[in-house]
Amino acid sequence: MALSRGKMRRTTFIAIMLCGILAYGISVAYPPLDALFLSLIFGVFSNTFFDGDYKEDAEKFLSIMLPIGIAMYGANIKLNAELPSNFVAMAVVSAIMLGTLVYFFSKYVFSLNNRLSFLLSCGTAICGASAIAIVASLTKPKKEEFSSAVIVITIVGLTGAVILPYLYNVFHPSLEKYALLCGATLHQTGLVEIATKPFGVEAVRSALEVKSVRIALIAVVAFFTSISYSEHRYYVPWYIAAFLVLSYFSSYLPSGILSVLKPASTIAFSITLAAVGFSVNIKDIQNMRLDPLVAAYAGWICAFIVVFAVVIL
Amino acid sequence: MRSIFVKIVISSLIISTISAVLYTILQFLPEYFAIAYDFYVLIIILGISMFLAGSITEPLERLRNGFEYLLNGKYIQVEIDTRDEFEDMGRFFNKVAKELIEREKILRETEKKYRNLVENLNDWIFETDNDLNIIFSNIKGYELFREKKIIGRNLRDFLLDVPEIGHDSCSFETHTISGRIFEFSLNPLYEEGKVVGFIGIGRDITDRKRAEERLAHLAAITEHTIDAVVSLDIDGNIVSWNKGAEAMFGYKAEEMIGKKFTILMADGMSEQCRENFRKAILEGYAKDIETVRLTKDGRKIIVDQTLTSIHNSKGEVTGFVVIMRDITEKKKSEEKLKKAYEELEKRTAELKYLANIIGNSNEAIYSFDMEGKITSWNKGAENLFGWQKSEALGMHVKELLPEDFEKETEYIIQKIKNGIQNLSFEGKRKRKDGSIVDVEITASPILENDEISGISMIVRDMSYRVKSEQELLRRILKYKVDIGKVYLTDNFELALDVLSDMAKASFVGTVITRRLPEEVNVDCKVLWLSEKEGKDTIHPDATTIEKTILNFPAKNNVVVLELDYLVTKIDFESLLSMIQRIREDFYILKRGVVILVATPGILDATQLSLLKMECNQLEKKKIKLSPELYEMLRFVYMKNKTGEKPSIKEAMDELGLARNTVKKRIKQLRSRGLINIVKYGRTKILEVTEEGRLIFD
Repeated sequence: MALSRGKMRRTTFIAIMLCGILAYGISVAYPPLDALFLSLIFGVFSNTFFDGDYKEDAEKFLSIMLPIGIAMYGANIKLNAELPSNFVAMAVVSAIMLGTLVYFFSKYVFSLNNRLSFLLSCGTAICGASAIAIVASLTKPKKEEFSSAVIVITIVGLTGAVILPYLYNVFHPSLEKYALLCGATLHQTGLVEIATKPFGVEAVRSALEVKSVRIALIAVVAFFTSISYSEHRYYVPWYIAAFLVLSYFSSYLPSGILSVLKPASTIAFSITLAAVGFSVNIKDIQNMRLDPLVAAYAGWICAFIVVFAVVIL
Repeated sequence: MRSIFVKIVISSLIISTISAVLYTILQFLPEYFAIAYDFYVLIIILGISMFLAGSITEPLERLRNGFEYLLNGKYIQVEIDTRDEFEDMGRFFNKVAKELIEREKILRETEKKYRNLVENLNDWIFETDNDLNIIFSNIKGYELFREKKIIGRNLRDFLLDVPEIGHDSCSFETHTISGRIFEFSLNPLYEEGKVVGFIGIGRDITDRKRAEERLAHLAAITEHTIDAVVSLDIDGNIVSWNKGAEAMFGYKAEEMIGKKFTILMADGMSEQCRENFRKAILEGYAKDIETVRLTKDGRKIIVDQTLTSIHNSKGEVTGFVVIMRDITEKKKSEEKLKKAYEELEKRTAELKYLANIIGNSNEAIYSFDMEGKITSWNKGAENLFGWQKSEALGMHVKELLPEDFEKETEYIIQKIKNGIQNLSFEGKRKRKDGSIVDVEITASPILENDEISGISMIVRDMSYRVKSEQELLRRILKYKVDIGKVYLTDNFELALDVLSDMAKASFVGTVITRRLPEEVNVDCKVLWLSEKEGKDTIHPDATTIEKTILNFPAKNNVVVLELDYLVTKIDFESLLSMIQRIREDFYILKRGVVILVATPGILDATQLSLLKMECNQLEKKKIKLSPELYEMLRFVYMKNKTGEKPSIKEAMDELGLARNTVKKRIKQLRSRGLINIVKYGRTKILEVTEEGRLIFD
């Protein structure tokens, strides 16, 4: 029986929220599985394997949840003012290098278009699917570009998240360096957690502090992107500002508030990424061919080698 | 190697290798994370696999898009540079698609042409299902029925009479609801061997039908017209010969077809015939007015002929049509008509002449209809009566009559109706200024289609003459009598004396009496009242007597009617009525004098009183001379009045006296100075002196 438009929309919203909450629940029950990554994967798979036209409703939901999720995600970021400057510099250089190389390979080696190249570049350099979602809200790419960018960044990032623990076991760097390597090279916050969780909470915390520096770059990227793409010049979205403010002040919030705010922000961002997954069309991969994946891999590997060499060797 | 197979194999190897590498890597991770990382590796492999598969099958998507476009009638160039079978397929697709598009374009153009053809056809093209429900109609159908909805309606909704349609092709003619005549052709449409409907073509044949009817009509006219219609070929041979030609010339069609037209020509007409043919070829037709043709029995008839050339579509002359009308009888009739017209013109001129005479006549001539309204009025009437023509026309004729003569009009109308053609009498008329004039009148009927439509009146002013005559009568008669009056006396002798006296003054005397003629010792006509018929007898009834008296001459009558015997035969009322009618007649027409004689005692006092009301009394003039001398003097006076001077012998003859008696009376008159004897050569003639004339003043 066909559902009415309103019911359809409600069903989609509920499904997205369930994906987010379920991902969070699984991550709580089994910490090695990251809530953000799972919610994205759940969203993609739900959208792909269940019949129905969810995309429009998912995009609608995403337009609501994305600013909230990003803003609240700031609570998960802990900007550490005491973070060594070489770590900060490494994180910034790494981000620039990652973004530049991925953009170079995408745009000039594989002749991808500017929007997709930019999405891949931002996703790789800053914070994966989250950055893509934020930047896409400004650059307005095609659906297939957005979808393929999210999937490519997830795969490449996940590859990195799987390889890095192995490299740790091979080269046995210090946890600090390992955390720097992870925070400086992995795409999403969730992937950083995945890659560092086997090595203890301290590794996770350190890696996320480095990663937070990269995440903070979203404000700069959003600002310049808005100048380039947005109709309102010199415009930084409110949620970016809120994200940065919350990131900054979360360090000073009482632990009681943080103990509520952090799970809430994780659930909110999980739901946001589930919405991103819902708005992704896996079939778009077919049309995009292998080029974005190879370009993303190539750019990331090149940058990783450099960062690895600098940090580990 | 250009092969998808190879690509798939390589892809599988890559995936396998990556899988192996990644799972090998996972061996170094703690147990606790194994499941999670397995999951992650699975996602990675799945993702990479999808990209690999996508990169291999992506050309299929392009081809699919290409096919989708193709299905929508569009063509896009599918560019595949995979260097495998897909690239070949893309090339083939482009070639096939291009071919298909071109064919479709041609098909579309062809379809457009056919559609235009179908839509712009003047025929109604439609398609129906098995139940004759229309499922397609070209524009003509909508124009024809002026309906916005034709599709879905039944064919029978638009046609007045549709025969039973089977599963075979059929044709029929019928009227549409718009009143046009259509010829339909229905052909079955088959689908899997079964009839699923019909395709029909309806052709408007109304004009054709009408043209056929007109042609048939024209053919019938041509065949049955009284005119001879003959068609000829270019050589002048007869091709067709209608019934009119058969009737006109006596030849049957089978006798004439194939013969030369010149067979109908009279001698010496061939040159004119050639000229006509030449003119028909050059100008299209040639008219030959009143030409002569020969019939089968050798008669010559006069015909009006029109020779028209027939042209084919190239404008070449292929033959001729000759139409001939027999005007022989018409010509004869025209001759008669011409003569009649000339006669009419002559008569009209005469009538104009007469009308001119009448119009300018000094006599008053006018006419009136049976209702008494004046319908014509000439100059003489204007002069006599004073009314102008414009005033008089439409005026009632009674306006012209004095008060005493008001009944004259009815009297004249009655007389004319009774058959009198010319009624002449003397009467009086009233002028516009009210003065009365004595006139002599002649009334005649005006006939229209043998019916009396009015009466014409010729009125001559007689006032001077009447006055003269009356004056003369007054002077010369011994009694005071007025013309037109009826007198009553009880003295028969006196009545005879008056009659005798008036007879001497040129009056015609008639005595109607029971007394025997020899008892009437006066020189006059005597009608003896008797119930027996005989010479100079008159039946004693009012009608006979009235009729007899009224048939006397128009004027100068003196009638003595003795009533004694009549009173015994006719009741008084009838007698009185008769006397009244005679009085009216004599008074109106001034016909003379009637003297009634009734012996005293024969009528009672009332009757006598009534009679006296209608009559006047006779009165004798006082004359100083003896009757004999007065008679002599009056004779000479009357002669002198007419410019004559009688001799003694004439006096003897006229008065019936002896010479001596005449001489004696002349002598006595001369001695009184009343008469003179004048010698005129050897004859002595008599003339009244001035003193003698005074006797009659």
